[in-house]
Amino acid sequence: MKISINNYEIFLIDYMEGRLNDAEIQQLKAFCVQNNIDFEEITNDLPVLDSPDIAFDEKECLLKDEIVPFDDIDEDQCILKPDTSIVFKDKKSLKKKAFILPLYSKTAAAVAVIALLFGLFWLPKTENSNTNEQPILVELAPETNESHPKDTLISPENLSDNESNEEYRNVYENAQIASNGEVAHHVSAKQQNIENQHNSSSFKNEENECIIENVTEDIQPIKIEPELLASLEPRMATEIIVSEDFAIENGLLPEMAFLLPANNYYLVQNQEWVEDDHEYYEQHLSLIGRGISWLSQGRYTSISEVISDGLHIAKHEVIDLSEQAVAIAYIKADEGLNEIKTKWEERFERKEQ
Amino acid sequence: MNRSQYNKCVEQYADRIFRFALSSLCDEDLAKDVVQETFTRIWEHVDTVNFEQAKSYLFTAAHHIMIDEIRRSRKDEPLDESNIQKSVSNNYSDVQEVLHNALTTLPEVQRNVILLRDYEGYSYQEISEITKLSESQVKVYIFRGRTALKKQLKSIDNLIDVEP
Repeated sequence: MKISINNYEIFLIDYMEGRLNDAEIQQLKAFCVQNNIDFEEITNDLPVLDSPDIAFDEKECLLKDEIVPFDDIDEDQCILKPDTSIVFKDKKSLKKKAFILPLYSKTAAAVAVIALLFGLFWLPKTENSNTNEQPILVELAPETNESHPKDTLISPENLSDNESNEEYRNVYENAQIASNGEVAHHVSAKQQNIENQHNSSSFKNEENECIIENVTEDIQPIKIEPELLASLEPRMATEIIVSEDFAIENGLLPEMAFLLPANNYYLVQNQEWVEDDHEYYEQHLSLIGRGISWLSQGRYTSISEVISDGLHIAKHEVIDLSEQAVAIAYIKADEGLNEIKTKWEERFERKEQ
Repeated sequence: MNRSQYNKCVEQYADRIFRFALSSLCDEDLAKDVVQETFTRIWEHVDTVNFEQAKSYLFTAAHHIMIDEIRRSRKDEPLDESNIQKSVSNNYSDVQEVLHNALTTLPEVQRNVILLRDYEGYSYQEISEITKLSESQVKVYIFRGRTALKKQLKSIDNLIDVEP
């Protein structure tokens, strides 16, 4: 490469760093003389920077956590904990409207099972009524109540001594609301036995027998963590914990075991259960579910208080049919029988009209 | 490069990138931003960058981030030389401090190639790859930068000589 005004600096730096041979050095010096460049001046004492002793004090922010080998992970660390504050509020949009009788679905089958329980408990007390033709309303009429004190409607202690009710009492005693906020529900083998013994009186076909057997196995305890409840506002708790799906998928409380079949029983007996009633059925569960929640977090001391608020919700949030559920719950609470009667009568009147 | 090697890069090169950026930008906060951004970029490509290539990748990224930063903040304008001379004339403690102050008067390209050469000892070819300049350009910029620094030192010497 020939030295020129455009590249002499490259030669100069190569010279300073000892990369030129003697001939090249001579050429460079000659070029500088020709162009009035002070070779000695320009190549001497060119400064070099020393790296300062400066540290970057935010290295921690740049570092990435090391991945722990699987072998070093405790089993406890592998348990995922759900963020229960995340809820899907539009469940209704996901629900299927179709509901078919006879009872094919698990939830409907659950209703059937419990309906049998109700029948076991209730029908022997209403010998004079024709349950195939009369709505439950008739059974709840005052004259019925006179022959069977209200306590008998809710308290196993006051059940009659016949075998069915004796066994039902045991079932009832196994289903309790724990004082620490946990709601537990047990469906004992006895309950299944009862159902198996008596289902022929209400639902005789083999299909239902099979369903009943499956359902009793499927019903699981409902467990609501006290810590979770304590951390939630009451309103939130009702929305998060006791959703319709939660109630449906996790089994039924003792109250529900009594309430749902009563309602279902009424519908079936009156042949009013049609496909559209599926929505009603779920609303019903929703209302009861709220009651579970309220009881669970100790906001209410009795189910009657639950029902009181439940009525309010029924009027504002749940379709009117749910009032029946509330009304039936009143029986359980041993209160408001007249109100039940009134509400049912009003409903029948509306239907007849 | 795996996670462990990335962390090793942080330990080995974060300080050096920071010095490079701080000396070039003369702004500690900006220099920290450059370091953060540089390591963010390499982390984003951690699967494709070999550990052996990491140093070059980091300085290349840092250089371009600094260029972008300087252009964005319009700090590529040389500082007022008289102010520099004035400030250093009364505050310098040694030649290196004067040189680093004088460095800020150089154009950004000259600054960066000198820093890469002097701080990191990169060859001209390596500097050429980092800065995307030709090797000849790198040499010319380095020569001109050093000559400018030398002039600055001389002028400061002259100022000291004339001060009472």
